[in-house]
Amino acid sequence: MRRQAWIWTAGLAALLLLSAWLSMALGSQQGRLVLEPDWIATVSFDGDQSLHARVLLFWRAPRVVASMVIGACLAVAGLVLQGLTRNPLADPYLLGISGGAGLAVVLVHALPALVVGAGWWLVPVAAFSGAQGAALLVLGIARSSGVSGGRLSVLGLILAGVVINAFCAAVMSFLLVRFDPFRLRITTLWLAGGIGFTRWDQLAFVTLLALAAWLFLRLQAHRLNAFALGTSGASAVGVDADRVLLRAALVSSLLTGLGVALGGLLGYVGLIVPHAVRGLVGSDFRRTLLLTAVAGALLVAVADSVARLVLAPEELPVGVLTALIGCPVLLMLLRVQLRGAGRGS
Amino acid sequence: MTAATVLEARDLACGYDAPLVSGLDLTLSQGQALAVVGPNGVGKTTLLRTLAGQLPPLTGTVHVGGADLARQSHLQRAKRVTILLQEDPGDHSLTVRELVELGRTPHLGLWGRPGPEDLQAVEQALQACHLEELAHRRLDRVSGGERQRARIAMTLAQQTALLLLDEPASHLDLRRRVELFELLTTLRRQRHLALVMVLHDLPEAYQEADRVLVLGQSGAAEVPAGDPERRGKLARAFEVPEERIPGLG
Amino acid sequence: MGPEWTTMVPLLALVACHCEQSSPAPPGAAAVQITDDRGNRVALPRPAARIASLSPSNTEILFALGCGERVVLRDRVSSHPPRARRLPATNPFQVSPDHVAGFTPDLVLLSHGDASRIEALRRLGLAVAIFDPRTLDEVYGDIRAIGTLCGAARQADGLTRQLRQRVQAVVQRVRGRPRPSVFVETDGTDPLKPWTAGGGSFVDQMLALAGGRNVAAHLERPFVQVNAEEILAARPDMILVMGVERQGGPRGIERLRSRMGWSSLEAVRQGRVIDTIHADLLSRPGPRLVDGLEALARALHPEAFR
Repeated sequence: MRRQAWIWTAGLAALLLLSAWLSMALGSQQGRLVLEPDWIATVSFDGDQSLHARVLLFWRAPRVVASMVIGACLAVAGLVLQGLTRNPLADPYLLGISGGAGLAVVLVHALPALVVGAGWWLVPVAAFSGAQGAALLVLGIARSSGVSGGRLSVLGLILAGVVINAFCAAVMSFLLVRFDPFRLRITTLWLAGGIGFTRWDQLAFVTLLALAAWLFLRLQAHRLNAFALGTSGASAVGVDADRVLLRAALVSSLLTGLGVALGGLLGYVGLIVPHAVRGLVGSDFRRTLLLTAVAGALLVAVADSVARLVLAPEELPVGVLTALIGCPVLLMLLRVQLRGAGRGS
Repeated sequence: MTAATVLEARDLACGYDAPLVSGLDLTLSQGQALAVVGPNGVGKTTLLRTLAGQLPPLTGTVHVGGADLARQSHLQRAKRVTILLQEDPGDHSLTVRELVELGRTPHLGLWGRPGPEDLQAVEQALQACHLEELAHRRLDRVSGGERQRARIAMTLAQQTALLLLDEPASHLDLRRRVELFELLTTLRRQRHLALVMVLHDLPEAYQEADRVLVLGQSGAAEVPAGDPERRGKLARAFEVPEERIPGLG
Repeated sequence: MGPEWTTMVPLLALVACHCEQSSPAPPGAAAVQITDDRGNRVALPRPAARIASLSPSNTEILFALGCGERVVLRDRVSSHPPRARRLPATNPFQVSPDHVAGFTPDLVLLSHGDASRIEALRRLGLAVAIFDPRTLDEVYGDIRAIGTLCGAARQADGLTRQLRQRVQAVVQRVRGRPRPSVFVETDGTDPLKPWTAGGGSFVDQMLALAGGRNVAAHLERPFVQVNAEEILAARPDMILVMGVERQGGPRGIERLRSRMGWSSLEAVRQGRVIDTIHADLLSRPGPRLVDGLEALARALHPEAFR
């Protein structure tokens, strides 16, 4: 199984590079799809002098990289949360994050001065802070009501997350109803998930943070595996379950917050990719963490490219594409899994 | 040669808010097995969890392998004592081998990759529990008895001196129960494993363990097999007439 | 709670990282420069020759200034004048910088849109000007600014002078006349809770200039939903139905008559419903606002225009 995991990881990574190269080479000019295989040459020679080179360097390239980072962050967060809560339906937004980030962004858009142009950076920062604030609140609520040794704290997490998400959604609805059509449209587009402008320094910072978070999780991988025994079972094999749970949940929220800051509330990635990866190589976190990151990056990179290109110059919402691509893949894997499981016992 | 003391409890009181058990003094040596019996709700599982270090004692101390459990980290504790609770909320999509490997968790290094001793411990545990043939099978594709053996193998791989078991044979049929207790006896002999088992079957307790600790409403006390007032004490602890105590062999 | 700082530090750094930002200024000496409605300084080395006009009001202004041939790209909604519809179009809400850059514009005009995409346009080195006027005076200012950017400042002055004169003429004609109260219905899809234009909206301003009174003037937002009961209680003298008519669909007054309870209104019974003015004439912040004003004044005070 271990060799299998490496093969899958290497294979998907190769696909990822290919997809990134293709994404850079495909663009639209005056409404028609155009392939330019020599984009690397353009960038090297023109630097940032020509408009076209700037499109490659400052619009397309950061977007391609951002899509990969978002996919990796959301997929890994989903993997960890599914493992911790032992709930295959968990997604990265479980801990109140969709509510917190969404509400923060709606509030920002409700400010009278900010409709366009002024302070575009407010949105990603608000999204990140909303996500983290909600996660901290959820963790605080669950902690104060948890009993060590039982599954109560995990249940508390899920319930607190549901409550916070629901509350934020209600406040959001209240605000959105009062929006004028322009603002409403812009806000809704963000909520559905979409990758806008990213600066290189912002992207570098986010990527470094995501890498640090991933590394932290990888170092905890064998302890996260112990959660397969339940929280008291994990305790029996020497894992400080409460502490590991809290930290892993926080780091997952951090990853989700980063993904949301860059790309809005992109759905399905954090739900589908972990399932697919576990179906391929099992549940051992030591094997799945890297593969999940690569698979998530690939899914969103491909989805974003298709979203950007298939109806060029119109853009489809990326969330639609992640669902359209991810769901059939997941269904196929489920069929194989269920067919196999039915045969036993 | 006297066997080393594995477990030492002094003036132990355990419970959640009010003590369920108090003033308990207990010593267990290598290779010894102690059965804990008593009516439901009297605190057997609570006592077990306190001895495992999962619950803090209300008063008194618990020493395992000479070290005070209250001062040990989770990791240090897991290398000395482990506990297997009755309910098994575990993930049944794991294979037998993967479950047993989880027992090595406290011994794994920074990156969590198993080293040669870890792999060896897993192999030995699988062999000791006769699970080599089943190692690759998923837990949801083996019988209840085999699953329980796999859980025991996991605790073996953990290589603790003390093993605490909460009703290990409760859902097993006669044959599996016999197999399980034979396994435990062998392990005590070969590995000098010290054992504390909560059992609800009285004859089984006296048969499979060296000593029996009886928990009743009025307190906890050891009732050796040779005690002439054995039946009377048991009857009082369980609050049943003495004639209802089964033959204890 | 120990590890919580792991979330605060990235947050602060993320904020710091975002805050300092300045897009590269276009190279070369600035021959024309203006400040747009968001306070951004927009400078061009020479008057704009290839313009991407991504909002309908700006498109209308450009054509009115005689600069229509310079427009290389419009937004989907830009529909006036009719020959603008022949231009390639793009989505103004999710602007594709890729697509826009493919037309090599030297100026991009917008009024609304996703802030991050607009920033992307700037980062590509394109000159982006945002015009989002709220009052008639601001419209005049925007006409002037756009004219300056196109090197058509004189035409802009001429246009604004004409517009001002027409507005003055209307104001003179309706001066002193009694002001009918008017309920403005911008969207009547839900007859129990129709949308109206509150105080500060363009319709509201035009109504005031045309010698009328908006019954919803006390509501501070430009788009607001009201209860049908309140309208019935307010008993407006006239009703202005905006909203695009479908070809062959029922006229505004017929729709009102068919609603329960509305036929009890004086305005409906006596047919004092204005439903012939196209919504764009009263809400799009361009030169045609004055057309809308004149039509509205004629409808409110027909005697003044005989």
